[in-house]
Parts: sequence; structure tokens; C-alpha cells
Amino acid sequence: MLLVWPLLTVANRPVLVAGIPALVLYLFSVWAVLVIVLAWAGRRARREDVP
Amino acid sequence: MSGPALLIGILLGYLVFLFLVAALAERFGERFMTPQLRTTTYVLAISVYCTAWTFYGSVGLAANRGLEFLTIYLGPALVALLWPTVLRKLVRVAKEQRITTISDLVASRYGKSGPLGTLVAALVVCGMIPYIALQLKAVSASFRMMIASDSVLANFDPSVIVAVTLGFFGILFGARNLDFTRQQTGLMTAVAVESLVKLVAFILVGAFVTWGLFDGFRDIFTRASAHPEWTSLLTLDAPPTASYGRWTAMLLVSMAAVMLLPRQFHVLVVQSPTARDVHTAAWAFPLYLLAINIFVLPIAFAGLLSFGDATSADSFILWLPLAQGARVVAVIVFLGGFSAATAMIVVDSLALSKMVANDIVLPFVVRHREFAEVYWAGLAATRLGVIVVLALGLLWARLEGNQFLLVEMGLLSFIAVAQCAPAVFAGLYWRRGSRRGAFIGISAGFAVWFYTLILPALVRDEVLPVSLLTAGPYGVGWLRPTALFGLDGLDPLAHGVFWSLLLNVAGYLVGSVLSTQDADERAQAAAFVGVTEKTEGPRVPAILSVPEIERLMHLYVPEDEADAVLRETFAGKSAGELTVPELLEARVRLERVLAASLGGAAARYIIEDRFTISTGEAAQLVESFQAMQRSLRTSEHLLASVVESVEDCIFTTDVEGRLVSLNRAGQRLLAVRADALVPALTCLDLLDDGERKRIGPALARVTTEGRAWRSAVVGVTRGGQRFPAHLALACVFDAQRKIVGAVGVLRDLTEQVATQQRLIQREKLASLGEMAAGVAHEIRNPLGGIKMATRLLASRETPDDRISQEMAQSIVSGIAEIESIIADLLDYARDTRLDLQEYPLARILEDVVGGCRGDAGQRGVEVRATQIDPEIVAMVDGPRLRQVFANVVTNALEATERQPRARVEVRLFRRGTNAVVEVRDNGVGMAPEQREKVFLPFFTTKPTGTGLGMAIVKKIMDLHNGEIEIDSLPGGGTAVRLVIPRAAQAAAAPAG
Repeated sequence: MLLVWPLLTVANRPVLVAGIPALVLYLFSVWAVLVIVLAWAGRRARREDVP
Repeated sequence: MSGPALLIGILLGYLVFLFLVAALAERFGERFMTPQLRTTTYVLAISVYCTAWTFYGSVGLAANRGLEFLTIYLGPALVALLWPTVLRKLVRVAKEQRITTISDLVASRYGKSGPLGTLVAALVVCGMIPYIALQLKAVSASFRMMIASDSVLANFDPSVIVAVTLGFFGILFGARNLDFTRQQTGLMTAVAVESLVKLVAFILVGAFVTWGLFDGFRDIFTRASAHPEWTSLLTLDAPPTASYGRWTAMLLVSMAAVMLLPRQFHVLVVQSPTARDVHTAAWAFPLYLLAINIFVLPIAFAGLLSFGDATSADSFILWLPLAQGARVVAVIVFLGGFSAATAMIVVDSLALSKMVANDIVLPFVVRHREFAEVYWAGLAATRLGVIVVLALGLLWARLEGNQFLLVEMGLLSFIAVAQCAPAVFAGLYWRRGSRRGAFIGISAGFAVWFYTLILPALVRDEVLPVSLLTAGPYGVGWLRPTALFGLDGLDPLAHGVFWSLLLNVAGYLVGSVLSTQDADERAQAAAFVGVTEKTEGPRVPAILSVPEIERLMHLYVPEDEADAVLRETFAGKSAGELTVPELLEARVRLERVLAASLGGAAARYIIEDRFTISTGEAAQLVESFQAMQRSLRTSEHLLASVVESVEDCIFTTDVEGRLVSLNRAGQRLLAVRADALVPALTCLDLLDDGERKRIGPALARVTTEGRAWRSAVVGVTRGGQRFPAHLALACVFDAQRKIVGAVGVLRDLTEQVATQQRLIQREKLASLGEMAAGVAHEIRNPLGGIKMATRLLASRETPDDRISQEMAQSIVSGIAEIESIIADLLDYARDTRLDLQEYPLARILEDVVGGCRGDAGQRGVEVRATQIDPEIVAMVDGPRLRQVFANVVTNALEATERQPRARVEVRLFRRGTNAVVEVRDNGVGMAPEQREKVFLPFFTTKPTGTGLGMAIVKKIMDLHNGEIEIDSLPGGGTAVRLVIPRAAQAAAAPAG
């Protein structure tokens, strides 16, 4: 939901934030958070997952 | 510019390096490949997703359409959220079914359908050829950029050499044998190394451009923002950037493609080391994608700022270092792009060749050639397939020219393979999905893909007239490929994705709902969805003989593997020792081993073809089996009917004593509902609290030692009502004589106990009646005498003193007799309590014998006391026992009176723990019917006496816990033995 319309419109503005385009910053931030969440969940699941 | 010879040298050196890496990994991988290293290799190998399209095309797309390129990588990052469930399931199913390609997956899911596999293979191969062409074009284009235009090699195209080399590489490390489910350690390691190379190269050139040519991200983006024509590239939904519709469509397509692209399926699913590695891949792969995309926008905008327009945007990544004379960086970039292209070409060509071999060539071969040739035909087809796929890629690259951007070609391939998504993912979770549904859905999806996406591309390439898009075929407007059914205004790509997937899904659903699955489809659907299939219908799986299994295994599988599989399958048993289920299991294993090499459809065909019984025999077998089932069902129903109709409570328990079943009578008796049984109640819950301690250990012994047990118990209903019952428990064994529980019968004795009590009451009343009759009879005689004497006294006018005296005497005598009867009766009826003391029995007996000698002499009877043991002592009530002895001896004297040589012998001796007093006479004896009544009150054979003597004897002996034995024959005398427990036993007996 964070990566499609309509939530995407929140960041879809032609402005720079700290020198980075707002939408670019938003997309890469969501992406990074996604990786962190997946890594955390993956470590837990791997421990519980009996080979 | 770099020297052509040097560049070719680097290129060949890199290829040699790849061969070396793969060869070393193949040789030493087993020894050095730790689980962590294997997982890392797996994650990097998955990154084969990033091809030359990523390396060159992403920059080109970013420069032309802004952020749209990110959808290709955000989609996979998003779908990774589902990998721990969806991909894990896909890996598990693929490994169980020995699936090697996406077409094999679809064919296997839908009943190992050969035609469906062929359809998917053909369509996917068609969809992927442009993608391979794209990689080869990227190699050619980048090589040409690297060499000087005036070089003698200016017209040299390295793509042919690259294709041939990679074909050889793929055959050597991928298609060495037919079984693609084996770990291809060399190939996977080489692909992983290539993923590292391209990532390092991209980051290096990104850093070079961002901080070498510019002053960081801020600098690049700030400068780009100063150009109004490029500002829109930093947002969405404003031309030329993607609309939200196109953005969403591309996200959706990328999500499917990352799992279904042939190379992705091969690396992600088929070559997955374990299902657990999916958890690591789910975060590490999105991280890789994030890393490789960080510098795409900076490079794109750096290119725009440096070269002024996006005409050659695909080449910005190379042009930027070349323009600055940074040859080393340029060579590294070239190697990065080359590694991205080669990894994709190798894995994709292998996966596609396997699809061609297993789903297009082999189904044809197994039907038309001898089976012995199939293995080599399959291997040859796979290896040849690699060459053919690469050749087609080369041909497409040459024919297609330069009209398309790299990214356009890649996108069309993505959308093509996404047409398999509904059949694959719904097939994993929806059991009703059918072969016909999959066929209709995939066919419709590909047809619409071609119509709405390929035809417009051909129009843009000027192969077809523009009127096709503006006016529609034959002027039919609502059939315009970019505005199908009048849906206008959508981005052409979003339009194509929308219609192709919509009709695909609709076709799949409608086709599935309206069709009926056959037995193969149902079985495979159950295996994929993960539920147990109920066997129904007449289909019987092919049972192969042991020699046939061995022959087929050796035909299609390398010798050493065949031997290993056979050893494991038969577990050392000879052919004669294998049961039918074991043969079925062997058949399933054989089919899966063959599927790994030949594909599911061909394997099924081979197995079915070797079915060792004819169709008629199969029908007979089915009929016999069904008859057996019917018979079993009838027996089962009969047994259930018997159990349910029995009035006793019948239950079964598990080994822990928990109730497993309870018949209807039991449910009524215990006021328990059938659905409240398990696991709420145990066997002990059927019993009163007081009984549980007693029954618990007994039940445990039943289920641990296999013993049967029975006892009177007190049952209790769920409402707490107690009732007398009888419980019988027995152990239940399975076929292997293992104890699996117990069966119990609990009989309600309430009615029986009530009946018994009524009978006792009736007997008491009857006894009372008999006794009353006896009393009346005995009293009537003296009353008669009294009555007569009284009348005589009353009738005389002048009393005669003598007669009056006699009459009075008669009255007194009669009254005395009545008093005696009453005294005896009271003696009999009284609640007698014994005064137990240790008595030497000889002393009591001698007193009695001595006391009756005078009477015996008058009767002419000889009384002898022989064999009197003086040591015998018993706990007795002396006066009562003297009464018993006297009564028995007197009876003997009366029975022998007037007999010739009348004699009574008295003995006292030991018998075990008892003392025995025997009184034997040679008198008149008794008939058997008299002997039976001898202890009844008022029964007598003598003219005098009340008939209470022996009844009193019986009562006193019972109070002493003694017994009376009588041997008698009419005219043969009588022997009465009074058996009394000796001192130790008598002391333990209750008194009174």
C-alpha cells in the first residue's frame, strides 16, 4: 500500500529533501525499512524452522 | 579508448576465470561449502535477476522515464514479504515432485499434463528469446563502445563468440546430466561470483560518477532540478514519467516475474539448498537490489547533465568514464555489464533448453521411439536446446535492429512469463484449479499479451502498418490493440497487463469451475495444495514388477544413482518379500526420479506404458478391490449395528484410558453426548469416585500388560447418579500385536439387583409362611388334647376326682408341649450371639456321649466313642455346641432304635485346618428328598418332635462358620459330619 496510489501521492512532489528528490527519498526509505523488517522476521523464522 | 586486443584478452580472461571458478567449486564444493557459504551463494545466485537490462537499461529508463525503473526491483522486494510462505511452499512442492522448470511445474500441478507443459514451454521460450537477445545486444553494444571506431575490429561482434562460449559453459556445468534437481555447485558458484562482480562494478562506477565527476547526490539532483524538462523525471504521473496505472502494473508484473522467469525459477526454486534458506533470501535479495539501484538515478542525471539528452541513455554508464578517460573504470563497468549478461544467458538458456527438451521434445520421443534411447535423446535435446536457444537469441538480436530500448524488450518478457502466475499460485492454494482452466487461462493470457503488446511493438518497428493501432484490424475500432474493447486512455503497457491478466484469471476460474478433474489432477492438486487426497473412483495406480522397476531405473538414471535409489527403495528385501504398498511406493519413487530427468509428463507416460497388467485386468482388479471394500464396509456396518443395538454400555479407550468411542446405550446410560467424548472423558469418569482408586491400576494393567479384567463396580452418570454395574475390560491390539487401547463393557445391574432383592423378600415371606404352617401344625395337637380335656371337664355334672385329675394333667401336659414348641421356635428365631472360647472338643463330646448312654441302653443301642483326638481345640460356644452334638446323637439313637445290633459310633478327628465330629449310625437312613429337607424348620420323619432340632443345629453351625455333611441311604444308616474350624480359624471368624 505504501508503494502505490494513493499513498504514493504524499511523497510525489518535485522538491528536494536534503538534496535528494522527495519521492526518491521516500521510496528508498520504505525499501530500507522493508529490508530491516524482513531481516528481523527472517532471523526469527529461521531459528524456529527446523531443517 | 581501450585497445581492442587488450579488451578481447580481458573478456576471454574473464570467461576463463568463470570456468575456473565453476570447475573448482564443482570439484571442491562438497568439502568446503559450509551451510553459511551455501546460503550466501544461493542469495547471490538469485541476483541473476539483475541482468544487462539492470546494468544498462535501468540507467536508460531512468534518463527517459524517471523513477519507473524502480518498479522492476521494488516488485521483487515487496513479494519477498510472501516468500517465507509462498516460496517456501513452492520449494517444498518442487523438491517433492522433482520439478525442474516452470513448464514442468504447471504440467505437474495439473495432472502431469503433457500438452499443458508443451504449451507453457513453447510460450515461455517465445517470450524469453527477446530477453536473451537483449543480453547479447548489450554485450555487442558495450564492446563496440569500448573499442575505437577506427579499429580493425570496429565491425567485430563478440556476441557470437560469447554465445558459443556460454553455451559450452552451460552444457559443461549445467547440462552434464539430465537431472537438474541435483545441486549444480559449479554453475551456482559462478553465477554468484558474477553477481558480486556486477554489484561491485555498479557501485564503483556510481561512486566514481557521484563523487568523482560531481560533488555528491545533492550536487547532481540540484543541477538536474535546474532543468525544467528533467524535473518531472523525479516525480510520477507526469509525462514522460509513468502514470500510477503503469507504475502499479509494472510492480505487479515484476512481483510475478522474479519467481517465474525461467532462470529465476531454476535458481530460486530448483537449486534452493534447503527450504530454510528462503528466510535469508527474503531479506538479503531485496538488500542486494537496493544496493545495486542506489546509483542508477545519479548516473542517469549525470549522463543527462554531461551529454545533454537521453538519446544514448542506455550507454551513459559506459560513456561517462570513457568521456573522462577513466579507462580502468570503464573496463570494470564493461566487465560488470558482461558478467550480468553472461550469468543471465547461461542460466536462462539452460532453463529454456530443459523446458524444450522435457516438455516439447521428450513427450514426442517417448511416444515414437524405443525407451532405451530416451535418456540419450533427452540429454542430446537439452544440450542442443542450449545451442538453439542461444542461436535464436542471436538471430533475434540481429533481426530486431536498434529500434527498441533494452528495457522495452525486457518488459515484454516479464509480462509474458507473468501469464503463468494465476495457474501457478492459484494451483498452490486452490484445489479446484483444473487442467482445462489452466489451459484456457494461459492461452488467453498469452494471446492477449501478443495482441496488445507485441503487435504495437511490431508497428513501432514498422513491420506492421500504423493503421492497426489507429483504426483497428479491418477497421474494427473496438479491437484496436492499444484500446481493446474501447478501453482507451491507459498506458499501453498497463493496458496490455490489465487485459492479459484479467482474461487469464477469468479463463482459469471459469474453466476450472466448469470442468471436472480426473484422478491424476485430483491427486496432484492434493499434493500441491497440501491436503490428503481421498481415494475414490475406479483409477488404480500402475503397479510395476520389481524387475521392471530395476530395468527402468537403470535405463534412465546413471548406474551409481540407480543402484543407490534401488537399495533405498527396496530396503534389502527380495522381490517376493515386497508388499503391494511397498511396490506402489517404489513406483512413486521411480516416477519422481524419472521426472527429475525427463519431466513429470514424460515420466508419467513411461510409467503408465510399463503398466504390467492389461486394461481388462485392471478393470477386474478394480472390481475385486471394490467388492472387497463393499464387503469390508458391510462387515463394518454390521459390527457397528451390533455394538449400537446392544443394551450394555460398550466403549473403547486409547492407551491412556481416554474414551475414544461410546455406543448409543452408553451415551444414554451416562447421559453423555457423542461429541463430548474426546478428549474430555476417561474410562474412570464412568465410575463412582470410590471405585477409581481400585479401577485405575487395573485399567493400567489392561493397557500395559494386555490382561483382561472384570469386576462388580458402582457406575455414575454425568448427572452424578450412581448405579450398580459390572465392568469387563479387555486389551485391543493392532495388526502388529501392539496394544492400542482397551475395550470395555459396562453392564447396568440396577434391574438385576432389584429383582434379586425382590426374590430374597419373596423367599423370606415363603419361609415365614412355611414356618407359620409348621407352628400351627405342631401346636394343633396339644391344643386338641387340651380342648378335649376341657370339654370332658365341662360336661360332668358330678366331677370324678380321678378323671378330673387326669384331664387337668392332660391340659398341663399340652400346655407344656406348646411352651416347648415356642421355646424351640424362639431358640431358632432369636438373634443368637455366641460366647466363643477355646474348648477342647473331646471334652464336650465325651460329656454328650456319656449323658446319652442311659437313654441308649433303654433303646437297645450301643454307643461307641472311637478315635477321639483329645488335642483338638476350637473357638466355640461350648453350651451351644453341646446342644448341636446332643441333637445329632439323639437323632442317631432314634434312627437306630429297634434295629438289630443297633450301633452309634462317634469320632473326632482332624481334616486340614478343621476338626470333624462324625456321628455314624446303622439306622433306617434317609431318602435323598428327605435329606434335602432335613434342615427346614418343622420338617421331621419322626412321630414325635417339633422338627426344629436340625434347623437349630444348622443355625448354630453356620454361626461357627462350620459345615454339615450328611451321607445317608434308606436302610443303610446315616453319617453326619460336623466340620468346625480349629482354634486359629475360629478365632478369626465373626461372632454372631
